Amino acid sequence: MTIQIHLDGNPAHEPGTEVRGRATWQSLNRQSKSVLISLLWHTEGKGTEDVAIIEQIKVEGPSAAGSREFAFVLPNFPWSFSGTLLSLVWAIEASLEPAGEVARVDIVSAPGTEEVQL
Amino acid sequence: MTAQRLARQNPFRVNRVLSLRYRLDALGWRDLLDRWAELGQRAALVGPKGSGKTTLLEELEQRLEARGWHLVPLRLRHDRRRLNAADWRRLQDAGPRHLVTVDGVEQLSWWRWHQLSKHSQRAGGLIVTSHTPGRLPTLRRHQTDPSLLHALVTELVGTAQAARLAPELEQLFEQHQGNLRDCLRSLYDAWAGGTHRWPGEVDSRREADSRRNAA
Repeated sequence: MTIQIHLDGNPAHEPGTEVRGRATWQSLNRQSKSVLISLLWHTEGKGTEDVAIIEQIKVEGPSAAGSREFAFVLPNFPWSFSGTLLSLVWAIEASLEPAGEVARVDIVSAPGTEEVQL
Repeated sequence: MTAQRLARQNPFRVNRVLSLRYRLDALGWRDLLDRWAELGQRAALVGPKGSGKTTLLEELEQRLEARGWHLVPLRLRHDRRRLNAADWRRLQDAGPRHLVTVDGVEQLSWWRWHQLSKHSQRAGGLIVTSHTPGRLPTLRRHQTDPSLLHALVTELVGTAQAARLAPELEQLFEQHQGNLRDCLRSLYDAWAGGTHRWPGEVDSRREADSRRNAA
């Protein structure tokens, strides 16, 4: 099984703009009930990870090979940022359900399309 | 100009550390689960702080859930030393195919432990973690040594860098009295503070430049 995400254009965006792309998958087995495409942010660093799923698209009963376009509007906040203790990372994730393979592409959502460095 | 060391690039960031798998050494999963069955499916993982009890508990949960057990996971910490009403209800509702897992059972008073033990009698399985033996028969006693820390660090930063860090790892192990979690936190700080030059390190400014160029 393989699942991939392809973004249209650059992965760095202004908040409030649209992220577009396509999730593609191949060789799914019968156990895969759905493909879930999510816009989310999560934290990485020294402390416990925090995650927020902003929007999801669910493809029910996917065929063994297929694809689905997505378009998510990035909220105005929070912005992508990074310091030595904590980073906030935006991402598009595509996952097979029940729990299976996951593909993820990190994106940036910040003014000037550059991660804020603390 | 020195590159800023960003949390998302830190090889010792929490989500990477949590993704490390438990190392069972010579004992295999089948042996461990057989022993659990021999103990009546009610047993304890015993060891000091930061020795991998929770990691092993989580791996056991995954493996037993895959075998059809329904999990009732309960988590206790120094700032959460009691079960709440919902936890007690879940315990009472547990049946023969339910596996109750309690991380940090030493947080419970003997009275509360007695209550928990009684209320979980109908559950098919019970696995607890504890710093000290005595609450249930010991399924596995956890011990750490510098070579285990070295193996974990190798997985996180690669063989070459782990070899360079070897003397420091010995010191850290001693300083933290074998608490691997604290050793890895110290390594996070050392990386973030720029104490070491790390191979393959990404220069955050160069990364931003290349992103701009791609645009």
